[in-house]
Amino acid sequence: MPSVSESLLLWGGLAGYAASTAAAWHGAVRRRGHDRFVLALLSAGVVLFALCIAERWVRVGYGPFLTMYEILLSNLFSLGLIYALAYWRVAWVRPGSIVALPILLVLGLWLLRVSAEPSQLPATYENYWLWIHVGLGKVFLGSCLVAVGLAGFLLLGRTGFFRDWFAQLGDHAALDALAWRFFALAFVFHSLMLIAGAVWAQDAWGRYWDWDSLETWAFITWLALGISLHTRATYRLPLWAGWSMIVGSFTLAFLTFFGMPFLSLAPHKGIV
Amino acid sequence: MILARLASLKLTLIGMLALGVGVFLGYKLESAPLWVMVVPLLLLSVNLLAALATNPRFRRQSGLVVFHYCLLGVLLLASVGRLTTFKGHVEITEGQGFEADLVQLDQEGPWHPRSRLQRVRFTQGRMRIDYEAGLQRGETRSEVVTGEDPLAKRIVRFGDNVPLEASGYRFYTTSNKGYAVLLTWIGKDDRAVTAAVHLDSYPRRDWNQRRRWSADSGTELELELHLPQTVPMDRAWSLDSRDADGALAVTAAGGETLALNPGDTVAVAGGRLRYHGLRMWMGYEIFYDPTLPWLFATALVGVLGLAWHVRGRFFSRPLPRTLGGPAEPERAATRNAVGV
Ligand code: HEM
Repeated sequence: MPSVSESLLLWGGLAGYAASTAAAWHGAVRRRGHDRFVLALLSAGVVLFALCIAERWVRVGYGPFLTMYEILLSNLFSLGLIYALAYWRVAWVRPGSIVALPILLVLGLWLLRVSAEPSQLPATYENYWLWIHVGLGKVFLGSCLVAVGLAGFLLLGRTGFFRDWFAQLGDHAALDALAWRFFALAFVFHSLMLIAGAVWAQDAWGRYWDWDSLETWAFITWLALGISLHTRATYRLPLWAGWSMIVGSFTLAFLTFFGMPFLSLAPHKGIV
Repeated sequence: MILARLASLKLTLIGMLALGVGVFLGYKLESAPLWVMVVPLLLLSVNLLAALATNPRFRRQSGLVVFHYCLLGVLLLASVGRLTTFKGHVEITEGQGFEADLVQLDQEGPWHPRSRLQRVRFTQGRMRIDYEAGLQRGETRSEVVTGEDPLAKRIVRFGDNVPLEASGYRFYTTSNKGYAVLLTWIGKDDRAVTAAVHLDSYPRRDWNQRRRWSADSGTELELELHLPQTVPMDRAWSLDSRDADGALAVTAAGGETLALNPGDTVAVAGGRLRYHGLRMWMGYEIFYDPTLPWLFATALVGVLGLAWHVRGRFFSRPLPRTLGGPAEPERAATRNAVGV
């Protein structure tokens, strides 16, 4: 059971993200800029999640690496942080928030449904390559989130839903270019994440690659990113097709991150 | 002409999709043949070599070329790794030297230099495994003494995240370990045989610390270890080879059961049995793959090349400073988009 203050921090973080999402959508529907509100609420959420993780870390004695609850919690923090930084520094990222922030909320709602029971960190997790691997993975998913926000927004614009706002934003080519910029960055970090993960696996389990569920899906995700970048570089694709490939690759990444580790516990040896 | 066809980027996409499907099939179906991955990989390799040879646009982009060469390099090294690899396992008792003949083979590539394992020399020292309450395994630590020469002796400590490296082999501690009873059997002919008899894995199978042992061709003995402790479930504890201590019950076929403490000798079934004491054994997984550092370096150089390319292609032109402004007509392709 989480402590009372941990639960309060968690709910506070979720409320920050929910309010930030609502502000982003209100701004979109009313065609008003609420950028400062969105950023402030999102940042508040990030800080509260950071405190929540810190408190839990001290209480259970290990970092948020193991259970579904911990992985969702740490990603709520890291994705929120990366998104907030991108939102703050690159104004062109902001229209994508109406898609990216609801994705964070999905993680938040999911978090409420899973058990918060701590586990015990297997000894093979006491490895600094794990930190590097996880850190790179977080930058990968964060960059991908920014890209999918923009690609999703651009696709929504195509549906006519936000046509007026969309037109008012002007230079769509800039949004498209930015989506691909973050997507390409995500590919670099995914590649690095795979390398660091392989080093950890070699140290911890005596093999660098074994095609277990997580490794298989991580490879397929990497390939999907590669195929998307390749297709775009070598064919004259309609824009929407490119955005759809970004959305598709993110979906695969999302399922790999949050779906796969818990279908197979095989790589997590460490009991008796 | 053929080269140009082989260099087709359509083929690249087909190859990549086929690889994705192959990987998926290999994962889903236990019985999927190896070629579902090997064929797409060969196709991609030929395609890539042809493209590197013939595509001037491709060759101009140096970071990209480095990345693609490194993709090939990783593939090549991983293949060489499969051919040279060795995987095996072995149990070694405290105080015992490593012997290649005791190793059980799990997998060996045709290029693995067989005699190499004979070069490995070390003697097993102390081991200690920590447990949290509820028999949750914590840290495993093992010590070995390396070096033949007494002056050059060195104690190496390793465990969960740090394998022992010896002559290019990596020895990984595993969750498989247990007790070994150290015995000397002196038969009717006065010939003495000393052995470390490994009992079942401990604490995983603590309820089964007994086994049959053939002392010599005619004598079968039933050994059962009586430990002073039971596995505590409600608190943290450590399994330490230094604390290994226990009494041994010995039963010969049709005979009575005799209890032995360390140092005791008894006459049993026409011979004499001396129980020297209790040791621990550790189960190791052994891994050999000489390509590991090269693989790491190649993959890293590849990503650096990729990062260099991405920087030039996606990050070189600044975005407009503010949102809004005149809408550009959308183009069918994204080549000329801002920043690209
Ligand atoms: C094996 C056969 C392959 C061939 C012949 C090939 C060929 C090419 C060529 C010609 C380009 C430059 C496109 C241009 O700028 O006009 C390119 C770019 C690229 N390739 Fe490959 N490639 C292969 C495999 C792969 C694989 C397996 C991946 C990773 C999964 C990959 C990832 C990339 C990336 C990320 C780019 C940069 C795209 C961009 O600049 O937008 N390639 N490749």
